[in-house]
Amino acid sequence: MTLLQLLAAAAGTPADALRAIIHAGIAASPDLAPLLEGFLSKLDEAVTPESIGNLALSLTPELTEIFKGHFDGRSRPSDLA
Amino acid sequence: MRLKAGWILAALLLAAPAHAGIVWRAAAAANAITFDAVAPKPNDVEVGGNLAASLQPHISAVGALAYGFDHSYLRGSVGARFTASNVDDPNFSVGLGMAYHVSSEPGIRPEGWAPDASIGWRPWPVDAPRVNLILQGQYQLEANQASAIMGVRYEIGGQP
Repeated sequence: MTLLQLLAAAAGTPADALRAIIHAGIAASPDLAPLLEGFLSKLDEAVTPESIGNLALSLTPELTEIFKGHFDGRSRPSDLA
Repeated sequence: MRLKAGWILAALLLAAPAHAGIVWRAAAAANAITFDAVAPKPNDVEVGGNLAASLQPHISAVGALAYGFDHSYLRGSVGARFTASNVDDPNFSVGLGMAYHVSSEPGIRPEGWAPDASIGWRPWPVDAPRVNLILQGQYQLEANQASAIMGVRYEIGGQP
């Protein structure tokens, strides 16, 4: 079983449909594309504790950059009223 | 299985901001507040703090906690605010929002929902980038009470 199949089973959707959803997300959101492409590249690996750990570790830096970019430079003075 | 996947995803999402530097904005606050049309103004002087997080480019989650010295009350609020800033001057912004207020003295500072309008200004962005001046007007819907705050904020932590 691959990671994609595992996640698809968790989501209750066919693996091909989940892959199509991720591709749609990549096409629709340039901000999320690096995260989703990296995520997708690891999903064809077989399910092992190591592959799950690598997947989690690969997500964290991408999510960190997304959150950081999301909030950086958006300190508005009126937010502190 | 679905529940476990959800927890893993939630853990990843919660872990990311911890490594992202400053996500939240926090500030120490001092206010002059007016809420009584008859009594001499300002009606009280407050100290407290504010928290804000920009969720989308124009939507922020905001919260505040303040202690009023003269009337000895503690009040807090949590809400959302639509913000707009001048592209050419990020040191000035306006916001329209709605917050839910709680108070240790509801007879003095009412509890409930209140829409608000806010102005924020960072007058010395180079010499004192952490200092913000604010004005806010709000209207307590249940108590039908208007109030106004004029205050100064000093941002804590991170880069201002």
